[in-house]
Amino acid sequence: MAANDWAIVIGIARYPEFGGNAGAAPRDLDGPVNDAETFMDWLTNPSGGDVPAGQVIKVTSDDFAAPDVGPDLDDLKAKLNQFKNDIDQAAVPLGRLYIYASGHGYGRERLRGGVYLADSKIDKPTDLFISKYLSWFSERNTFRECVLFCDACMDQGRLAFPTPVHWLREIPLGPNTTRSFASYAARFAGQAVEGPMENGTVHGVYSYALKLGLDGAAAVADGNGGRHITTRSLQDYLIAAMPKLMTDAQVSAPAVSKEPDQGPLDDFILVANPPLFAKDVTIKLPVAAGNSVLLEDASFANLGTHAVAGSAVTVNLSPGLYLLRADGGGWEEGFEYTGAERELDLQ
Amino acid sequence: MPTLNVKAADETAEIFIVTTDFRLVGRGIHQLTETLEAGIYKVRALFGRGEWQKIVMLRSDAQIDIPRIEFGSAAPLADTNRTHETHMYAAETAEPPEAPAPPPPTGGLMSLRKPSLAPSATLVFMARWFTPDGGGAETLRDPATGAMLATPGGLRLVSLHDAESADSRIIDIDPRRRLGNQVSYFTGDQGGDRFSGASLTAAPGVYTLRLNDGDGILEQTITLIAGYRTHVFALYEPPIHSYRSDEPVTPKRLVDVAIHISRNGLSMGDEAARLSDAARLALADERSTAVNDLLRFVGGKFDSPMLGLYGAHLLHLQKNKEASTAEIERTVQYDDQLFQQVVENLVALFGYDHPDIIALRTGYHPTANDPLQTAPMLWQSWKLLLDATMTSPELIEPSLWRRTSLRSHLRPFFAWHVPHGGGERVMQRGIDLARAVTNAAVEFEALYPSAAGLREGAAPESAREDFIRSCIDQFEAPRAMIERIL
Repeated sequence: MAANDWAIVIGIARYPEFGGNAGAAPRDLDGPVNDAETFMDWLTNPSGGDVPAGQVIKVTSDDFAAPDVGPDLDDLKAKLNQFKNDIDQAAVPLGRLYIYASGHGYGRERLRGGVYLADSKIDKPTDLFISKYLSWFSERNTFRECVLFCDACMDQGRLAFPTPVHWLREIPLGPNTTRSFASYAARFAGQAVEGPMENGTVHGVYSYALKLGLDGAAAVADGNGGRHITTRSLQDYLIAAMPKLMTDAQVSAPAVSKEPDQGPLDDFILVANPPLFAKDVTIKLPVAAGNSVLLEDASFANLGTHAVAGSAVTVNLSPGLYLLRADGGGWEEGFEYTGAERELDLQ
Repeated sequence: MPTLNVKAADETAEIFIVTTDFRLVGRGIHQLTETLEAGIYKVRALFGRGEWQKIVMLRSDAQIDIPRIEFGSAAPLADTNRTHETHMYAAETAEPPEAPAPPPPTGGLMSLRKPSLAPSATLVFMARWFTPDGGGAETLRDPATGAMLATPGGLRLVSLHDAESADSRIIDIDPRRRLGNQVSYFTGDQGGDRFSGASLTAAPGVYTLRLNDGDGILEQTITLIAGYRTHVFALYEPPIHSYRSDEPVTPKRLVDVAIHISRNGLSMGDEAARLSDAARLALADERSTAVNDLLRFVGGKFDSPMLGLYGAHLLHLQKNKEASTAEIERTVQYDDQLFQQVVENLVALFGYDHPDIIALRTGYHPTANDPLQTAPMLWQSWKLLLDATMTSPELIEPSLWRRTSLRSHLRPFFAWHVPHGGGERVMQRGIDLARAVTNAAVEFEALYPSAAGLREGAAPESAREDFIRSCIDQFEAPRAMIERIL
């Protein structure tokens, strides 16, 4: 167990007065609570983050029953103060800090963003400046590693300036020893999007790709027989997988960011030897593929022959690049599989 | 080992080669050559915010040619993914009712202090819808509703939306100091992705453009140059979450604004226009890796003043760039000589007194003490101007900060909302700023003992200067505002 790891998880889906076109209309999201719960599952899973449940604070819109609106800044400050007290009393050295946040969001500049809070009004947004909280913990030097996942838009919206961190900075003497990794759902000035996923619920595209990556899809071989998810391999994976989870309309929309952004990016292992990620995937084939196809990996090693049924073949794949070619020669086609695809169409 | 050659049709396209574990093994601009182990690779290219991908089976030397990459833009340019032929045609053929006067022999030089009042510049404004299914008259309102041209100070000059007729027509307008005598309104595609707009002649100078962004009214500065035509495109789309929307009238969201300034009319297939729009998006995203290639391609030809402005700011971004986090960093070095050359070319087009030019010249030339009369066009210019108030506090007066304090999201442009019901929200913004600066002062005093007495005016001058500098950066407010609070 990652006994010295801690986490803050925030998911804000209900914005009852944040709508624009009709004054105080709602501007709700469908994904953030699902995303926060999904991340929480991974976080406390022994094969995932393995963080003790008692060392995680989770705040979502579902904690507030109508007509209560939350979380607002006071709600979050109370939770964060409690969290700070807990870590101040915990045994040192502290291990890793995870911060996960999902909701409507903004970008102050590249790699500086936050989330809007539930009591935001279109004329008076309230916010939590997530990037600055990460910096606050990093500069404090009490955690070995700090990790931020922020699933929110990075455009500026109407926020004039973000609310500063509500604690005074505490910068210890000596070199900064905390390694940090911050990952954002959108590049600066771009929007993050959500949609229905293969599990039947709505998720943020970034958060669902993150779930797949942390479940093992982002693991890479270390050259010594091990497989690890590193900060860099996770980011590479998110770049590849996110567009696969978007609709065509989202992919072509100029305001939507098709890839995440990252920084600071200290390269370290997030998950050592995660579960092997492999799924059955159906691949639609053209007539030229014939009755059976050969599957090869990225170094052209033969992975077996598969019978074609109904112009399609079903194979069990781990994320990567592959080649299918007609058993009798002629047709061949390379393809990428990230684990995010429901099916592949090579027709 | 085989060699993979990749070449993109777009001069400033970024190219990436990715392995089976999604790891980057090569990157370049426009073209790239890598010697790699035989295997399967993904070639990926970005241009604007568009992306192109291909899976490559590399067994022997191979050449990959990347076609022009589609991206989304408010301008209905060829090879973009937000356009219709009808929109392209309308944008190219929208002629102002009065031909512009010939440009002065010195080019487009103009001054804000002594503007030429002759209507020798032209403006074409076009607002348009784009919907995935082509829209429909039942759900899409006139996209130009609320659009207006105003003085630099925000006083109404003329509506860019014809509220009285659904047809294209030319109407007379009252003679005004800076405009011609007529405005030509145009509209089309009323049964689908509707477009509408206006064209007119006007005196060169800076103006305020007012738009409805779906949430309310926003404003931004635009520039008209003698002998040039300024094209402003505003693109509206339904909200991106419309997968669950069944509203009877499609909500209007301003998703993009593009500005082009061209010597003659703007061709939707023009390569410079395409590069200019890609540069605009790169500046919005603060993605400056291709700027040297961009400026090398453009050379000294400044037929596109906006491209010059975007390029200058992209160059400037490199100057203060943080260390790259890329696994394979593409070395891009700031070229000071190139930057100054670009800025001097822009001075000849926009004039020394243009706020964006003042911004680009800060740090190289003494900043004038005269207060800005209007905001710059670009966000990055505003940031430079804010920084410059450290040594020239008069440059941005509190009144300009208040007018623009409700910021909007139209990066790379500097845009602000006009509050409903007067200045209550602006006043609140001032109160919020005062509270934030005071809290920051408490923290500053706690962190730096030498800054004790900051709030009482008793701190040493150097500590006070450091604090003000940090506030300008943190709160995006000019020195004059911070000074008032302190």
